[in-house]
Amino acid sequence: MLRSSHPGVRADEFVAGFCALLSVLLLLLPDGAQVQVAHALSVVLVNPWLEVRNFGEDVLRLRAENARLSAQVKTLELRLEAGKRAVADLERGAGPALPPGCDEPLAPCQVIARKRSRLATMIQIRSLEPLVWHPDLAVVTPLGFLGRLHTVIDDHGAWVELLSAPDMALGVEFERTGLAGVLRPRAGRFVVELVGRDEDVMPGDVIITSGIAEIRDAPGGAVTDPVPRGLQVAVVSQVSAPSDRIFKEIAVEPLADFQRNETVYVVGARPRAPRAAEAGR
Amino acid sequence: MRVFIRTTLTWVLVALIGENVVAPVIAIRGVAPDFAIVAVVLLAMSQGSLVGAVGGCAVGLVQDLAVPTLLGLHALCKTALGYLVGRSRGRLVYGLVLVEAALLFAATLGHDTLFLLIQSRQQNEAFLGSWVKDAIPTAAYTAVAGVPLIRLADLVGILRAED
Repeated sequence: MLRSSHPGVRADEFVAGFCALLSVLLLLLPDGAQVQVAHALSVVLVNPWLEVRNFGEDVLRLRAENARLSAQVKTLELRLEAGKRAVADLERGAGPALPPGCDEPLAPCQVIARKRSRLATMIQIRSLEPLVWHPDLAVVTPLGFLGRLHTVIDDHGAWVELLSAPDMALGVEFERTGLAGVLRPRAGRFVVELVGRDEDVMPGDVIITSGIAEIRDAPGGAVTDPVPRGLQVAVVSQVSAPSDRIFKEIAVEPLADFQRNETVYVVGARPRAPRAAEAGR
Repeated sequence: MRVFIRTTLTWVLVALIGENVVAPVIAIRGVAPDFAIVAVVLLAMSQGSLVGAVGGCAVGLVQDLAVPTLLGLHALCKTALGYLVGRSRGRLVYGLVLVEAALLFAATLGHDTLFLLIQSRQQNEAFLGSWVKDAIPTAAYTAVAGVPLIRLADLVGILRAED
């Protein structure tokens, strides 16, 4: 313990006095000298901490900016693909029965709870802006179709059911030929069902969402399909036509990575209009 | 040694995270608790006037670096704060929320009063306006927000280090 050399002056008084004297001396320095001393002290005392903090803030800001930019890029890519598909549809004589591609807005969202275990089939996302969204909206990554909105928590947060969920079924189309089928996960892999055994399917064929209605809001009720046509889903990896089956057995490899995503896009979610009180400010 | 590490961690975290992260979030109309003062009070209550004065001087000096033209003013005020709280800790009744709230209120108000008095002389700023509009609400908010932290420190055994 520190002891003062002066009898009658306690160590704590001595130290407090020293600290106070140091503070007063600093306070009495001329303005220019104060700034110089503060600068020299900052280099040692606070600049490392400030640099770390600024770096963290920059990373967060950059992440949000990156999400917005990549959503714009993805939108442009989808439009480009839709344009090409319109030409292909015309050449194939498919007619204008289906829209050529996705023209819905993409809402960038950040994944805040990733797929944590082998068997997990849901992830949690958070949008950058408040959104008007509802279950069953499609969720895509820059690579391809990821899943559907399962539960909306609020206008910022939602849970997404991945394409690998056991009860997932997705209406798909072979981009090259226009054939329709249903993609389902089955025993750890993905297959496209209901494609006739004599149809033209080859390994390497790209599979996109068909946009054909598949969800009814009630038995016999209105048919709605929030998944638009033209979102890339998978690539055919294996095709066989067993002699005892009327449908082909088609195995596909999904394009999206279910394990690790940073930014995903919800297709068709609209930005929520600012509330009256906020708008009035 | 373990108590020293625990105490150091606690008051540094309270000062650092409280001032930089929590205070901006819980500010009401620009008035936020002064977590640096809470940290110095915690330190002085736990370790006494000597460590309180040195810790107060250190925290104050770091705060002064944000306003170089008043270099030393925070350090001076917090040195006095740490020393006085450390000296008075033997006379305090531990465990009473009202006592702790009153201590925090008085510490914050005393600190701000000294600060504003010197600042008003150095920079020709009005003292009374800032004292009423800023110092009193901040002292009240600090008392409210600081009591849970002191209770927490008491629970983890920091305040009873020398009892």
